[in-house]
Amino acid sequence: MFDVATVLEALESDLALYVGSAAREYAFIHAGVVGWGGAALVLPGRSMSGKTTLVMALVRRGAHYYSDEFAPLDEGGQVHAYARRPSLRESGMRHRVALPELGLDRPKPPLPVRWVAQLSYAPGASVTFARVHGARAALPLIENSVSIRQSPRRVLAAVSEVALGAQIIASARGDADATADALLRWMSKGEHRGAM
Amino acid sequence: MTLPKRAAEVIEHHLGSELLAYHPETHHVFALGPIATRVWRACDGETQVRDLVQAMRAEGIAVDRGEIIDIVERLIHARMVVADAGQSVTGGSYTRRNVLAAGGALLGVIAVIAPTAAMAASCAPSGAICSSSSACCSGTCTGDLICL
Repeated sequence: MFDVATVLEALESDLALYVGSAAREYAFIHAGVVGWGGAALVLPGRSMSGKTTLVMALVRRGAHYYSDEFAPLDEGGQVHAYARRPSLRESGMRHRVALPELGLDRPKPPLPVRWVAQLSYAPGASVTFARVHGARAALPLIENSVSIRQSPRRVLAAVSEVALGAQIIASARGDADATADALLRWMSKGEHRGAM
Repeated sequence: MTLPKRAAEVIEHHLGSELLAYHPETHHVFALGPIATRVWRACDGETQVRDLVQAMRAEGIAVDRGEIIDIVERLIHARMVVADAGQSVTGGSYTRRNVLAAGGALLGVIAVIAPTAAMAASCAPSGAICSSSSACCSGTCTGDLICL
């Protein structure tokens, strides 16, 4: 016996993945995205890495929702909104949440990517804001690209633009609320060093 | 020793003095630091290692022959450059894991595997080869580059 909602959820995920890998104008990165002060924070990460939870924690603190699934980057390295309802997991099941304050009913402008945080959940960990520089700063985005094998030139060009213009960190993180607070302090004050 | 030639199929993108390079068959993506990029650019199948060392020193880049050979060995193993038979001067036995290993960071040579769309949307199970913790379901990629 199939649960229709579960089947449709899986179909939507597969279609989204296909669109992301086949897109000709954008480099799709598996990532959460929020806007803050006219620029974007990109949170690359695989499924089950807590992207949606962290994105929602940031939105509750005033960040603008752009995506909990994909960061579509154009050739200039700007990120576009991927407007869909956030997908939360509870008891192993995914479900979409409809929140009017997410502003999914109106178009959002593309944003320059000013921050990228590749975060791995580790209980009790604090985010360390040690920046990654140069070509290696593009690797967190490449590791989460859904289209690099189909469109390597486009992806390398887009992630290079981001690597040149953004502050990029890779760190462990603990609970989503404390992480959101630390990220917003980082984004509000500029570059930080050391754990927060 | 003559430096090998860059593989024709490799797609490269320059970031100032650094480089991203993608091999469409092995799906390795290399991030090369300034010294490794300088070595990469010299890989034309004609330049001698000793000439490159001299040229780099003349440019104020402190480098020795061993560093250059180690960089070249990594690139040879990853098929980013094409060596003639028997050109592996150290007899290096790089495995896929060696190519991805963090030790390359000291040489300015870091590699990751470009994921398929499905890989990018999922996490690697325990025991899978990884290049960073974010790729693992457990959130931990060990020093041996294996997901916990």
